[in-house]
Amino acid sequence: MNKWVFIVIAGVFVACQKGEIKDDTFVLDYPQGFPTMDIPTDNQLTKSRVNLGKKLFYETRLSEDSTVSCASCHVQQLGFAENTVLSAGVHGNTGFRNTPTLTNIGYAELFFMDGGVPTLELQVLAPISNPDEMNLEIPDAVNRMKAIPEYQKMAQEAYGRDFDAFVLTRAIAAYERTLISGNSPYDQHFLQGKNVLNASELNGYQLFVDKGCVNCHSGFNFTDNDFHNVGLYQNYTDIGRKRVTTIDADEGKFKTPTLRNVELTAPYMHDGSLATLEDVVEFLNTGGEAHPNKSTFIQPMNLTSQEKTDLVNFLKSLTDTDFVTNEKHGAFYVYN
Amino acid sequence: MKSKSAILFSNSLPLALAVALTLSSCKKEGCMDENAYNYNWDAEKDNGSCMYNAELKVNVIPKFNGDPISFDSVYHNIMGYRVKFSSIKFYMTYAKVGDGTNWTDAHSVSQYNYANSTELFSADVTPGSYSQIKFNVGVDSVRNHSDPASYPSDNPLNIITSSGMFWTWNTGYIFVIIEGFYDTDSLGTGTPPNSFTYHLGMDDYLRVNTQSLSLNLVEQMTTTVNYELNMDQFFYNATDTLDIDANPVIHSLVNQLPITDMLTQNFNNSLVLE
Repeated sequence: MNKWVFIVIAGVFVACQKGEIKDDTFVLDYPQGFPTMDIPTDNQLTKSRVNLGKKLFYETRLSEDSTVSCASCHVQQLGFAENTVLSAGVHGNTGFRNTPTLTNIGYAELFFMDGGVPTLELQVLAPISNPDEMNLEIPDAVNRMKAIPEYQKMAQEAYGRDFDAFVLTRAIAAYERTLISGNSPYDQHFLQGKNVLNASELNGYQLFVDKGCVNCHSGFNFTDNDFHNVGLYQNYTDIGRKRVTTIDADEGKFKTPTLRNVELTAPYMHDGSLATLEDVVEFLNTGGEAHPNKSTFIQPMNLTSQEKTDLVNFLKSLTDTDFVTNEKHGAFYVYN
Repeated sequence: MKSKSAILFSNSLPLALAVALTLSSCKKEGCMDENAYNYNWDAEKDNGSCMYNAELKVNVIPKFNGDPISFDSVYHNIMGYRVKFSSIKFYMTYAKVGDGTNWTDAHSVSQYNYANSTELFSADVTPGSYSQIKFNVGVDSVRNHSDPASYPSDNPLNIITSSGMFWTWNTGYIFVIIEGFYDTDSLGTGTPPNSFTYHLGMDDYLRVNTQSLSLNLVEQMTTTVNYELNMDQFFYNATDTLDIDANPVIHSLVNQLPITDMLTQNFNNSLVLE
């Protein structure tokens, strides 16, 4: 065979293969010390799914008046939280709890501060339909997206079906599972062998362990994924976990938040009532208000002024600058 | 002289015939009509055994003091309030017919919406004589905590077809929705000025509605069973009366559970055979 004919045929074959076979696999990049994430079998990660979820996450047309998206309240630069006491939804409406961070949300076991929703997929429905947030009924949200050819095309590519509630919930959850943060100075120091923490931060870490903060803010993600009453109030207006379980012993209990990127997510507590990390440390140092459900871990800590500073400095060492500036998490990056 | 193949043919012909006859006499018999409930996909010969389901239609007619409710009409409740309804909806799961001990499945799930129809469900049911009919008012606890986005689009439990009967802050379906307007002034005119909203649910408030009747379901025949939903009785029972003005909005929250308990019982007790 003429060698040129052979080369042309081989070239066409490769080109055909390239056109037909697209590697859509999405591989999560786990930081040192992070476990493998449990991902539902019906929503294994692919680039198509993550791209679609990201586009939906930043999509304002998922709100009644097309002014609010998920990203309006979960701001990347703020650790996917927001710096207001209560976030504004459509028409300036506000909810009743401070916006939680989405940092490492794929590792959470129950969702919302009272744990009322069991999966990341189901969680998607609440803010979209909540009158104080995006205020768009799910059928309306689906119909809006379905009417946009680009979303229909992306839904078919990602899930092999027309855009529907299944696609909406799965895709946004898929994107949110990629929001993994594990490259803070704390990680670099203790897990990557880089000597980056200063004496104050190291002393703060020791206090964090010795004073028992680590009892609830435990593990690689600084949360036990459980619910605790920290004695913020004697009488809770927001009853927390009891709202879901109806059990009196759950009154005033809220899910332990991760402390990763906590420096960026002020104000703090379920109602945003403490403005700064210094305020939080000051509050916890007192041992909290009396409440029958208060965790036994919450006790007066008798911290000195320097120790309070050290503890705050340690908490700030959990800020992962790469995570909050990573363009891959932003609206315009597309995985290919 | 016979050829080798001719010898083989003459020797094997009787055997082939015997096999063919045996196979023919072994043809599997059964019902070959796909519309029959005992359809046998494996059958090669219809033996006349086909049996067919009966159709059971169940309707619910909301009434107020005996009259069918119109969303355009204003009624007076037991406290003298003027009441006008705008939405009457509920979920029904696991309808069965039987004799109180043995039960036959009739229908798995449906959503009743008076704005659209008085039909609760229509189902193919095994023919027979039955003395009781029962179903859940609400969604059983397994499906109540399932993912509403994962159901097929024609399933009443799908988030789209559920038409708002799902709480997103706490997984679970709203079992009963009663909405409308009220006026404490019994002499008022026009549409009552205040709205009421009763969204009732939670696992503990799933109610089982059981009715006695004489039901003879005949194959390939349609039998209709009519319920009445006496909404005047939704607001009161033997021991308590709901003051709409004191509790115009109920979402089955923790501090509303006693009222949720009362209203789901009232609703179930109001749902009786016509």
